[in-house]
Amino acid sequence: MLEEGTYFMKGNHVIAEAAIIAGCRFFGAYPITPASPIAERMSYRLFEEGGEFIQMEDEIASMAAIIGASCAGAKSMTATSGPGVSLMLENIGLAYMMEAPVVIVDVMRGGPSTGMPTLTSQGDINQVRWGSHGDYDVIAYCPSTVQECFDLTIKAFNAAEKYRVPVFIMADQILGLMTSNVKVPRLRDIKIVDRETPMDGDDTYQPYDSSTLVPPMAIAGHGHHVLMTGLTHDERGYPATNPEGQEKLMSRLKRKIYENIDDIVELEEFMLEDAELAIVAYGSEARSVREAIKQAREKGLKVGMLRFKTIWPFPERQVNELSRRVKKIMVAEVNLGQLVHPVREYAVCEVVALTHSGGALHPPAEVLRRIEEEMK
Amino acid sequence: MRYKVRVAGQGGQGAITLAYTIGRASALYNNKHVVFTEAYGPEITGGFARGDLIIDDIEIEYPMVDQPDILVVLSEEGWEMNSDKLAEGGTLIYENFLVNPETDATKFGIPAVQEAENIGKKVVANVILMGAFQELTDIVSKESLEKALLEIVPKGTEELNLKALRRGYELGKEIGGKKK
Repeated sequence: MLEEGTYFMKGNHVIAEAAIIAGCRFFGAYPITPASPIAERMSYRLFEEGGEFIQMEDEIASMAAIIGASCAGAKSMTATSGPGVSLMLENIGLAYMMEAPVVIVDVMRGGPSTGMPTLTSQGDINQVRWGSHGDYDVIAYCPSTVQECFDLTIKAFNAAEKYRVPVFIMADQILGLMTSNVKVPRLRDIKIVDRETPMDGDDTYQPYDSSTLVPPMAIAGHGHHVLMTGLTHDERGYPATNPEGQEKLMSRLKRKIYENIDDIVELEEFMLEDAELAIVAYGSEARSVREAIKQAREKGLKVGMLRFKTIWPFPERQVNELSRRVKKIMVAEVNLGQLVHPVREYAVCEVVALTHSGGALHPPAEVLRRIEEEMK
Repeated sequence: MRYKVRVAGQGGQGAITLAYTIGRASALYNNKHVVFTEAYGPEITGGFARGDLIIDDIEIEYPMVDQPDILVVLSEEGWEMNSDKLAEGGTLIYENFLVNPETDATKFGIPAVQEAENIGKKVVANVILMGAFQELTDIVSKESLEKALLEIVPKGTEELNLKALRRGYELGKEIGGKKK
């Protein structure tokens, strides 16, 4: 494992190394630009660390493989880009229903379809949240720097283990392929969370015990009664496909995220103290916005940023509170308007969108021009 | 002080390695904040290849290099794609057998390919340019650059690479004259 120190490393490689430090010992993926460097790194690093790497036949199988490995007790990850997430969606719902902790890295590229494989985008924001069928929740981290590729990957594994839910790391082509300084702390200073498991020989163990929001998870093959299924199930894991069974299961699954939302959500406030215009931004795009805000402040414009380090679950309360202390919110993103919709839903002030078809970030000058226009 | 550097050439020439090594030296041994981004055409060997660096004492926000202060070109295509990008007052460093740039900008032609052949391997032409870059710009120290270079070259080629780098320093001195 990486020792304490400063490294000069590619975002994708940092995600791979952080995953190993977080305890990842299984990686199954199908190569895709611009996420392939993660698989490439994992292919030999996991071997060195005593884990398993499998290049699967496609993304559907990759997602299935990491769910299986997770049920067998291994912290598991896959890495892909938007087209791969499209193929994984059915099994992402399965992971949610089975409550299998898994981490999915999505290094976003230009879409739809094959789109622009080598160029950036933030077009998968809604896909990861709404793409699978039925009502479900995910946790999605969105790093903005190579350092955050490290920090948030650790947190992604911890959140997956703590809440038994699929967790996304939403990087993008620019960040994934960007090489920069990254500081790795002492291993013993890094907080690692492992899933709770039942006591050995506990005959009363039920895999979906509803007396707690996140039941302990038995390792398949280690003695406990383990039955996990995508069907609506009762506490034992047996099918309970009726309105009562559905209500009981779904309300717990929903509550385990929303009753812990303040523990999960991570936001950064930048120059918001006296801001009249607040820009909501995330990922690489937030770096353009930050530079533009610095320039705007030099011109005396009262503008700040609320940066989402987690995109999902959506920070409903924080956005609502922000909207009560600024005149206007502008959502800047490299898509044609995705996160702007939930912001509109929870904000009480005017909300405008700064969109981009994809392939590049907004240059700071363009963000600045728009700030000036909106503050006229 | 912020420096924005672009190195452009064809896949296989080592443009990206050239930029990466300068970035690595600056980040790890000169305590700078560095952002290094790379871009290439669909085919790796033969298509365009570009390495961009931002080097600063403070954290870097916007990570893209729109107008480099220093442009290093290893191929005619690399020049054509970037001839209008160089910042005002910027410096052009180019391989003078492969590229013939017409510009009013401050420019230094380095016979990197020919010198590399003299040393014995054409493949180190990019390292010769790296040495010239160091001498002409002084953005990164010689000591740091040598350390970073030795970390990334294949085993058994250390001497060849160091020789190329040092020949680059000499050429930089001969052609560029004084350090800034």
